[in-house]
Amino acid sequence: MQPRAERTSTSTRLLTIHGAGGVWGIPSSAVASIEPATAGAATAPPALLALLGVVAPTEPHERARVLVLEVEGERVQLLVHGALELAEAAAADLLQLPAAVQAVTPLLSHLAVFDGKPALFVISPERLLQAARGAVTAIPLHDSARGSSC
Amino acid sequence: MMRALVPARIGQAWVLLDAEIIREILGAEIWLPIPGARAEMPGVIAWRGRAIPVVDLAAPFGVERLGTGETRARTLIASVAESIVAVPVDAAREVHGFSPAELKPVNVTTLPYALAEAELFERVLAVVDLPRFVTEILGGATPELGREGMAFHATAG
Repeated sequence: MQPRAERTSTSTRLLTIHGAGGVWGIPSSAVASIEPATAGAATAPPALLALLGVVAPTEPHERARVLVLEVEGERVQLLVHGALELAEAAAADLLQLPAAVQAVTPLLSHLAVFDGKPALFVISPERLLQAARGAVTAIPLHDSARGSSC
Repeated sequence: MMRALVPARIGQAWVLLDAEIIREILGAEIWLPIPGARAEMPGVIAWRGRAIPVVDLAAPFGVERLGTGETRARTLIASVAESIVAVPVDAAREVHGFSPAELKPVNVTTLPYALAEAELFERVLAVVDLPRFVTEILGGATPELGREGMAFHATAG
């Protein structure tokens, strides 16, 4: 599956993950490909929920897949469970998380609001890359959820 | 000079909060839980184009905390510590003005963050220092809780 990676000046396309641990979004522009999870692989990619610190049982019916993200010229693999969908969020509906919240959960950058209600958190590919490198040391100036303006 | 305070109820505990920091009183608001967050700041809501933290006073008061998907009937939007936060409460009443003589030192109530006490609704209510609580929560610490523990004592009356 190759999700289209589009971002216009007024909206951001998100790949959303609907699993037992909640609903999460990643800017689809950062998703290079989605691969089936290989059982028994020698080096399993890190699980999204584990990176987020979410303790949730994986439902048996939830399909496991590997998101391959391309961020700043590097590839990051991420194991996700649940249904994947595409959603379009207007720029005005992507609300930057306050610093106190980002201090608790540094991989998340924005709250996406659909129909006037908080719907999901947006994961920052740039911070995922930093996490993959070893540590999230600082909030990057650029978050692809809303371009460089957020 | 009169001090304007908003009576608010969390669980069975009525408290008083400074009216000057309350920007708006909304109904029940849907909030999204923050992964890994402490009970005092369990989630965020959307308010006027901003994502703002939910601050749960139930946690320090020892009252039943907000669970995921749960809401309270009223949401106070408060401007404190250079931040705006949402404080879900079970009820909020109209603002009451209190003279300095009506605000007594803390004696009867034992809630954390109590600044003073005043009589209302034939009870003694604690005036809660919401700015200090929020400052500590947003800063990642709650030394007041460490000093006074999590015990809840019903207000007299």
